[in-house]
Amino acid sequence: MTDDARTVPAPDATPMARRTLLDLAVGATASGVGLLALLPAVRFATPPAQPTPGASGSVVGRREEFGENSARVVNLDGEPVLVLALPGGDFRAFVARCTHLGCVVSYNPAREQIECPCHGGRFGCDGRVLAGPPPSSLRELPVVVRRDEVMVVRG
Amino acid sequence: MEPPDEAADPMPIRALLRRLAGVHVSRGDGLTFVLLAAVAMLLMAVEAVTGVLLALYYRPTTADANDSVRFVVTEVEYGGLVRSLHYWGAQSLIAVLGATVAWAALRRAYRAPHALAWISGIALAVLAVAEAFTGSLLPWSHRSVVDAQLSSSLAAQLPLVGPLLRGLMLGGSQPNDLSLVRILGLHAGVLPMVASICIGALCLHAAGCAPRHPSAGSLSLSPHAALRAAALAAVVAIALLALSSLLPPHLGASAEVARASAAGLRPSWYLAFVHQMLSAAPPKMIGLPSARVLVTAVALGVATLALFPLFDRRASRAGQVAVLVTLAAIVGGTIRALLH
Repeated sequence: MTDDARTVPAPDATPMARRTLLDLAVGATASGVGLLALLPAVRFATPPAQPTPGASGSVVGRREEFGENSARVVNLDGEPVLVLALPGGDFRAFVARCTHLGCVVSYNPAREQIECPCHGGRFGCDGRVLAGPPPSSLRELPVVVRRDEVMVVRG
Repeated sequence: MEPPDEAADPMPIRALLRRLAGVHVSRGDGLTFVLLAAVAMLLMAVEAVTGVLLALYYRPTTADANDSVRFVVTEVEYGGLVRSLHYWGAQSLIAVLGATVAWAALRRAYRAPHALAWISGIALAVLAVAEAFTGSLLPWSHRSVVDAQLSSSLAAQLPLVGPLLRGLMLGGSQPNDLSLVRILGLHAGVLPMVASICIGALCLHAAGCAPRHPSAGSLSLSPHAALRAAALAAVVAIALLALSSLLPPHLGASAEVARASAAGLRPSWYLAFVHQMLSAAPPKMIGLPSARVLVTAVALGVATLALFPLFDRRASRAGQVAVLVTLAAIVGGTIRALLH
């Protein structure tokens, strides 16, 4: 046995290392090809961007339809918009999606707050965060009142 | 036992099956695993059969989906029962797989040589939750609309891949017709396929680990363990049938995507914990929006739990404590959120 050990080249690392290297090369090539194939697949699965409608005003109702200190959520091109009739008689409009995780918000006239039912976010009548986890204010949209028609401008 | 000339056997799989039937399982852990696996397999079979039946009538468009499910429940013979079985089977499967993971953690079954089984088991539990979740979106009720919107926002919080994930899931920035086809594809195609791979890995692992020879305190898989498993499966099947007949799941009315409010809805029990953490968090954590931090932390936590055997190769006591504390926090958080 000791003779054998002397004549045969000592614990030979080369063939093993060669095999490891080969395995590594095959694995890396396969992963690379797989990743390259994944890229067009992900691009395919991402729908092409649709052109967004330009700035436009939408009539959301007549002034007398809104009671003082009340609000309603309207659907403008698939986006919820909260139209708020303030106690003084002014109107404000906000994109009615909570800035936390996008839940539709609603108005609480008793507290004069805009509230999110999902995680308890609360906003003032100016859209600013009062409490809860939302990281930023609601996005405000301009409101125009013309001849008793309330119009929200999107763009 | 084996045929004298294996090359001449036209169906060598019979020899393999005979070998599998001949393995022995220990009376403690081995038998427990066989029993849990049998119940899980029964529930998965129920899900597969009722799922194929439900798909016969389902129409994946936002305009038709709700009506097509309502048609199954109100018009189709046994429609209410099939939907109810599919629902309660899914809830039970989550509970059984969750219990299996907890039991495996208690028995330190993530140690060598069980790493692959542990990873597959956690993957199956996560897949079961994903199946329940995508399934809850398919009827496109008011609740589905809110959940689709909310969950895609949650997915979008993940770093780097988040917005891409949301686009892939919804096929747009808001839930639409494309979303339902994609959700159906996930629910009935992609997720079950991944689950099959995990089940295959688990079966190979179990077959490879099981001792071939009887020892003190072991019993043979066939017929002794198999008979016990069949008896338990029969009891579970009867209980499931009773539950499904007595408590059919609610089917809410459809809703307009742009106005569906979450007011009055409670989150699903398996996500209650996450939602409560989101509610309790301040707007910013470590200078980032708290939702982003929490969602990333939950994803990292589950991934760490699944890949635990790779981090803790020596299977230390501290490692087990970490796993158990994590699981206890999930269970405790869920119970607390449900009582809230």
